[in-house]
Amino acid sequence: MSSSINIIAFGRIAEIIGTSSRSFPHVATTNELKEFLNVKFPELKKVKYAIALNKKLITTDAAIEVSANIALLPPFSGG
Amino acid sequence: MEKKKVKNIFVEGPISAAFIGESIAKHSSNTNIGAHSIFLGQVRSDVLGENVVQSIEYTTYADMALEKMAEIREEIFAKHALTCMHIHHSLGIISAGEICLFVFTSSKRRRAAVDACTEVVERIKNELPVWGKEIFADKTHQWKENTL
Repeated sequence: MSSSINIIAFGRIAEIIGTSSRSFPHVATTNELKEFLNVKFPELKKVKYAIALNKKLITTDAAIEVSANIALLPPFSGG
Repeated sequence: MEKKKVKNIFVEGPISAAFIGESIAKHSSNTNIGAHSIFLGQVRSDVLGENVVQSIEYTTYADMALEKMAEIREEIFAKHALTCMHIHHSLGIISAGEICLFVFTSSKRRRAAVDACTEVVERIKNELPVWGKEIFADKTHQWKENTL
């Protein structure tokens, strides 16, 4: 049985992964997620982005629950 | 943790001068107020090489942005003696010359309104998950960057 996680993406990151919402195989932590995404989308290695888990910015490696809200956020440019 | 009151700050399209005028007028009934401070962000027509920015398309991660804004609002009110604070941020395509951000703080004496206005504008730009896509005349685009 393989579980999956749903990821939403914004701005330039959504352009790179080709969609603003999709599911990926479950990975245990945010660092593993970054590694997985960098392999799948090599262009991501060239851009800055942050991960938000359940609407909070992640600053260190964090565990990913299957039910987590995961978002990939490029540098902010509001205002 | 108690649930914070989450207010919407986002509006579709540009913020009109009429809306700003009406917002000011609404405060005339509160005679405790002695000072207002207003910040207006306007879409700038930056020139990048041969390209000229025609408009900026704003998108957001609304759930996260509004939660963060509620947190910022609470901190600003704790720090400055404000009577009230109103924030409106545009989403969608905003043309050069149009207003995309309206921050309006009011207080009894001027210092609180001025300081809170400056501080909240900085925090909006640095901390809210909002993205501006600069669209050029030839329909190509680039993503704006503040800081992360």
